Amino acid sequence: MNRKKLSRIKELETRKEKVVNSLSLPKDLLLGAFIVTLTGNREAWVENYKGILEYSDECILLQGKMCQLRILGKELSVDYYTNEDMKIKGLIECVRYE
Amino acid sequence: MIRFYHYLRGYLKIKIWGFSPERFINLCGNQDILLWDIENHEDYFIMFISIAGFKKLKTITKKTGTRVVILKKYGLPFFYPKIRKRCVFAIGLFGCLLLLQMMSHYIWIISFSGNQIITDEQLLMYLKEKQIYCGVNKKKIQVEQLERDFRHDFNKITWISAKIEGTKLFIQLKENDYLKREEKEQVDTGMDLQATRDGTIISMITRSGVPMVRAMDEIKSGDILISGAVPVYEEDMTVKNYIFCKADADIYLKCRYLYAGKIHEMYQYKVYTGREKKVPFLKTREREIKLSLREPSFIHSDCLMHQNKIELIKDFYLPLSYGNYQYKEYVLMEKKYTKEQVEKLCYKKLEDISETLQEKGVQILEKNVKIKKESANYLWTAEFLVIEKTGKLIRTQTEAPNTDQQ
Repeated sequence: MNRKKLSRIKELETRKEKVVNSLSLPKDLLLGAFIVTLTGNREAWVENYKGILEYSDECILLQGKMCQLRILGKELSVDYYTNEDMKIKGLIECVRYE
Repeated sequence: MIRFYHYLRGYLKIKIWGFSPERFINLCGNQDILLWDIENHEDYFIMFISIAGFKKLKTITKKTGTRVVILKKYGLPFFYPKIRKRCVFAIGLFGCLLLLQMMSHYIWIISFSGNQIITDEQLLMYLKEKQIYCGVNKKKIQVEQLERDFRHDFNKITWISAKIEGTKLFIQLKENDYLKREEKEQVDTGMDLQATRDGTIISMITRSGVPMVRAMDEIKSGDILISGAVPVYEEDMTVKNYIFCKADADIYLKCRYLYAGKIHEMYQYKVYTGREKKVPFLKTREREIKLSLREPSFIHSDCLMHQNKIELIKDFYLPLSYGNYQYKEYVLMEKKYTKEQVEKLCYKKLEDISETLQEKGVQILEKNVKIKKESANYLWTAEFLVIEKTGKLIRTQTEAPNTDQQ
């Protein structure tokens, strides 16, 4: 049952992607993809997230629509946080999608 | 700019701790509450939040089970009630600002630069006649008109620039060393060159006029050296008429300068006791207020005045000065000059004299000094043999022959 559900979700997603691609619509809005802008390894600007799951000096985990984004580093801190976007400062070592 | 906006609206530094601070941040985001400078301190979070955002936190804290404490308040909304309590201070501050604003409409300092012949006092007097003085409204000063007036009324001024900087009227000028107009006026009547000292003429070169003397002649003070009346002769060698001109010549005269003076053998000198007193003062344009009840009770004292004009920002002067009088007590002691000291003093005086002579363009050939003691005084005489340029312009004495009778 679960497998069927999963395959149906995947099918839906691929269909959605195809439609978005063919109509050349903005992917971040329709697919709910993260927009991550990195400035060197000192600053990261993130959009299109749903919430913050974990926040520590070494790891910030963000929940997106499709997946999670893990930012790893040292002395990480949130410069500002709103519903739309956020800015992370610190020594960023790794950006990982999970 | 954002910080200024935050300051205007007011913001708080808060500390949160409890079950799920991350959820607290998420809910704040969902409710459009801006959080900034979020710091993680393991057990608790410190962040900044606006006042409007803080008012919405009650439901969020209940939901997330977190606790919030205000650490510090920033911004104008928190400053305003404090000011309200100090009403008089606020009025004073406002009054002060108003006064400053009003003061900035007036001129509080007038300065000149570039004037050597015309003194500051003369210029100030002239400005006063034109209704421009310290304390006059800036609007009343028409800089261009003022410059024109200066150029018209002072022949010596060749260039002038006046400008207002803050509360300061700054006038720069350049002067001409000699007056062309006056000379022109006098040329019509003819000018003679007259000797100013007794002596022997070493050399002379005449450019205009008729020479009345020759080189190596002995002349006396008041003699006419060059005549400004050039005769026009008839055929029978009688003077028909005179053409008047300004006599011009380089005449070098060998002459003697004599100087004499006396120095008293006793002299007084100051010995400072080390006792000092400072009396602060405040000064407006006309009044001076000493901020001390007692004047120093020194018999003899030197007084040094330190005065500073109050300048709020660059070139924004106020009509107020402050400073202090520094009184230094001294005792007068008497001492006798030794012969060596007297000689030194005399030579110093001679050096000063020869310096002033050389500044005038006088060439010194010889100098003799004699020092003689007479009772309690030392008498000194100095004789300088010099070569100097002579000749003073005077109105010519020669009159044109009466042509009516002929």
